[in-house]
Amino acid sequence: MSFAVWLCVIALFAIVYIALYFSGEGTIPAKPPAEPAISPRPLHVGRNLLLGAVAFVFLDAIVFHTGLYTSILSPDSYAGRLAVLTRVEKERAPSGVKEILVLGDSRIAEGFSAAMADELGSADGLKFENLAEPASTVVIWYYILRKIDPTAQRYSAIIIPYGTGYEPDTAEELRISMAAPLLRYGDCFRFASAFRQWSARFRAFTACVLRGSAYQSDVLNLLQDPVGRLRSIQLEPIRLRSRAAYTGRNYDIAGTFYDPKTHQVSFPPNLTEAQRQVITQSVKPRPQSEREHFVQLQRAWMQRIFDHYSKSSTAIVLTPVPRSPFGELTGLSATGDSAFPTALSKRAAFSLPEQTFDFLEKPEYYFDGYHLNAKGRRRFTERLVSELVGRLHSGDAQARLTSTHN
Amino acid sequence: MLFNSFQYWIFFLIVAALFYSIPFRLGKLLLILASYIFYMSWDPRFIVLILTSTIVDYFLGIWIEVASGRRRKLLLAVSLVVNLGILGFFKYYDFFAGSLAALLHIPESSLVLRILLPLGVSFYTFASLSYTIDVYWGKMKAVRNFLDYALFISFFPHLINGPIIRAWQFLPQIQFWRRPVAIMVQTGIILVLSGLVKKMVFADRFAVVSDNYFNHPTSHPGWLAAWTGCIAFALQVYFDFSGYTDIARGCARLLGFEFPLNFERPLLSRNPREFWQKWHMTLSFWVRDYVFIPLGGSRKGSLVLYRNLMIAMVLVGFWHGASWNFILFGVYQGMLLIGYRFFEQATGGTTISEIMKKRYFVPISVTLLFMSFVIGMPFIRGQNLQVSGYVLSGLFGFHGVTGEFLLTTGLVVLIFISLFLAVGQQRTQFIDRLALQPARIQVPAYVCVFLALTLFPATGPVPFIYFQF
Repeated sequence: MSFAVWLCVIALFAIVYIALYFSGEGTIPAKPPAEPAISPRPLHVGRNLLLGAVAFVFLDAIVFHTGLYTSILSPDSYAGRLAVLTRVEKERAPSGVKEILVLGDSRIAEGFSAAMADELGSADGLKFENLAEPASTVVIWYYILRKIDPTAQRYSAIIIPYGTGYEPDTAEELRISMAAPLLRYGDCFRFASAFRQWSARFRAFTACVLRGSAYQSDVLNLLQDPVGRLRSIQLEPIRLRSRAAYTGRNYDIAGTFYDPKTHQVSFPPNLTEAQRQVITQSVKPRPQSEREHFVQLQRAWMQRIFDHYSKSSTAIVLTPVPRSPFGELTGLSATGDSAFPTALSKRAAFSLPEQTFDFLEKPEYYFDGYHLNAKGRRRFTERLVSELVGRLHSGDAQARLTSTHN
Repeated sequence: MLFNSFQYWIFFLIVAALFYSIPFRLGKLLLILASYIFYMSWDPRFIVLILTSTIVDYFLGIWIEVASGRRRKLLLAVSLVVNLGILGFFKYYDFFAGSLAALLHIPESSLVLRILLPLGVSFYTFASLSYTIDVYWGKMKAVRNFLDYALFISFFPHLINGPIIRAWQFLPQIQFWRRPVAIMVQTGIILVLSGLVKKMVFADRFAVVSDNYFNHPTSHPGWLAAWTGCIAFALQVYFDFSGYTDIARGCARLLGFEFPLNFERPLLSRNPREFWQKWHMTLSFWVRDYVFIPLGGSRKGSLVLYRNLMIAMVLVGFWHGASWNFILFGVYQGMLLIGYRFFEQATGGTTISEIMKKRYFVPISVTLLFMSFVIGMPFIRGQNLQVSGYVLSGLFGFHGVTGEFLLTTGLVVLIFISLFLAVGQQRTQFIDRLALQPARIQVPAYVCVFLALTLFPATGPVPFIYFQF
C-alpha cells in the first residue's frame, strides 16, 4: 500500500478513537436515560411531518426534475445515455432536408445504420436519425418523441418497429429508470399503467413523483466515484461520435441449427458459452400472460404516438424486424395487427408487410439469438430505406395502411 | 407483510384509522383480528399454534392463581410442556432427530420431518411462558379478560420479531389504555423512521457484502476478506434487528402502547456483561429472570455463577436457532462472560483496573468488545460448522493470504456515519430529543430521512434476519 493509503487508514483510526473517546464519560451508566415523555410546549406533529414531506418533494423537484441531476447522470447507464441522446437530438439544428427518425430497441440499434441510410437516401433528400436504444419499449419511444418533437412537426417520417421492444417483467426497474429523465408529474398514472404488476406500478408512480427514487443506483455510483463520473461525462462527444461511426459486429453464428420438433439448438464449435446461452434463451417461448400484456401495451402506446401526430404531416411507418436467426421459429414476435391502435387518429401512417425481412432470418446475419451482425445490418438498412423511399413517394399512406392492415 | 413493505404501511394505516374511530373495547377486538390477519398473511396454518398457546395459557393462568400446593406446580408444568412442546417440536425436533440419526449412523431422512418453522414462535412462546411463570410466582394477577390476554400474545408489532413483551408490562397498558399524547405520537413517528433507515439504508447495504462473503467464503480467502465480511454481517444483524425493534416500538406507540427498549447502542459497550445488558435486552432479561436467577444467579459462589452464565448463554444461543452453530455461539458468549469475570476478579483494585476505567481507554475497550462480537459472527451466519470453521480460520489468518477488502467506500462512509450518530445519541440523546425540537430542526431532519429512504435503500423489501430465529 502506498504512503497515502496508510495515512488515510491512520486518520480513519484516529477519527474512530476520538469518536469512541467521546462516547464514554468514564463510568458505565447503570440505566439508559429515559426517552422524553412530556413536552414543555405544544408539539405540531402532523404539521412538521407534512412540512418535511413537502420540503422533501420540493427538494426532489429542484434536484431531479429540473435537469440539474440529469446532466450528471452516468453516461454509461441506460437512463444517462437516453438523457444525452434526447438532449442532443432536441438541440440539433434542422438539416433542411426531410428528416426521418428511427426508434427501436437493441434490434434496431444493432440492425440499422443511419450513416448508411443517409447515403442511400441522399438522392431522395432524406436524412436519418437513429435513436434506437437497447431495452427501450414503445412506452419510452412515446416519451422520447414527446420530448424531442413537442410540436410534432420536425420529422417527415418516424419509423417504429412492431413486434419488438419486448422486455420481461424482470426488466421493470430498468425501464422505470430509463424513462425517468423523460417523465413529467402529469405522467404518473399513465406511466404506472404501463406495468403489469402492482409493485412495479407503484415504483413507476413513485419514480414519476419522486424522481430521485429512479436514480438510486446512479446516485450511489456518483457518491462512490464523483471524479470518475465527471471524467466520464467529459468523454460524451467521443462516445457520440463512436456511436455514429458504429458499423455492427463482424461475426456470425453460422452453423447454428434449431430443430423445431425437439426445440433443441445445435452449435458450431466456434461459439462461446455466452453466445450459446443467449441463443438458447432466445428460442424459449415467452409466457402467454407476458405476451398478451406486451400486445396490449403496444397497441395502447402506439395509439398515443399516433395521437401526438394526429394533426401533423409526419408519416408514421410501422416496420417489422427480423425476429430470429431461425426462420422456422414462429410466434416470437407480435404481428403487425397488434401494433395498430383500434381507433386510428393518424392519416399518414402505414405498415411494411410482415414478410419484408424474412430473408434476414438466418444465422449468418446474426451475432447472437436476437441481433443482426454487420452483414445483416447492411442488408436490413438497404431494404428498409428502399421500402421507405418507394412508399413515401407514393403519397397514399392511408390507402396502403388499409391494404396491409386488412 | 414486511415492516419495510408498502403493503404493511397500507395495512397499518387502515388498522390505525379504524382503531381510533371506534371505542377502545371494540378497538381491542380490531387489533386482535388485525394481528391474526397479519400473522396469517405469512402462513395461515400456524394461527392454530398462537390460538393454542393463547387459550391454554389464559386458562392455566387463572387455574394457577386459584390452585395451591402440588396442583399449582402441575399446572405450571402443563404450561411449560405445552409452550416448550410447541417450540421444541417446530423449532428443535429436526435438529435433535438429525443429531440422533448422525449418532446412530442411520439415514437422516428416517427421523427428520423437515418441519416448517412458524414465524415468531420463539418470541410469542417466551412471552406466553413469562405470564404463567409470573402468575405462579405471584408476581402478577391472572388476567380475567380473554381479549386482553389474546391481544398481549398476538399484538402484531411484536408478534413476528419481538421485542419479547412481558405480561406485567403490557396487560396494564390494555386495561388502562389512553389515547396517545402528542409526544408519544411524535416519538413513535421518529422511531418508525429511524427503524426504516436502519433497516433499508444500513442493514440491507451491509447485507450485500455479507451475503457475497458468506454465500461463497472459499471464493474470498484471507483474513482481510474474513474480517470485512464478518464486520459487514455484524453491522447488518445489529441494524436489521434494532431497526425492526424501532419500527415495532414506533407502531405500538402510534396505537397508544409502549414496548420495552431492546437495544441500547450495544456496539459501544466496553465489556461482554455490558453488551448483553444492551443487546436484545428483552431476551437477556427474560433469560436472567426465568433461568439465571432461579438457578442461583451469582448468589452461590463463583463456580455456580460460571455454570449459570454458561447455561444462560447456551440457552440464548440455542434460542436463536436449532443448530450446533448457535450452541457454539452461546458457548463462545458464555466463555466471554466468564472470562471477563475472571479478568475482573484478577485485576480488581490493580493499576490495570484503574487504567481500564480511564476515558482514554474507552475506545480500546469498545474496539476489543466489537472484535470479540465479530469473531462470533461465523457461528450465526455460517450455514454449517464447516463454513463457520473456515471463516473462523480466516479471521485468525490461517488461509495464508491477506485477501480482499470487501467493504466499498460507500459502506465505510456508512460505518462512520453510524458511528457518529451512535456517539451523538449516546452523549445527547439527540434522536430521542428530536421530538421536542422546533420545526426548523425537525423539518430538515425529516427531509434527510426521506431522502435517505428514497435514494439509498436496496431494491425491494429484504426480509429481516431475525425472522429465521
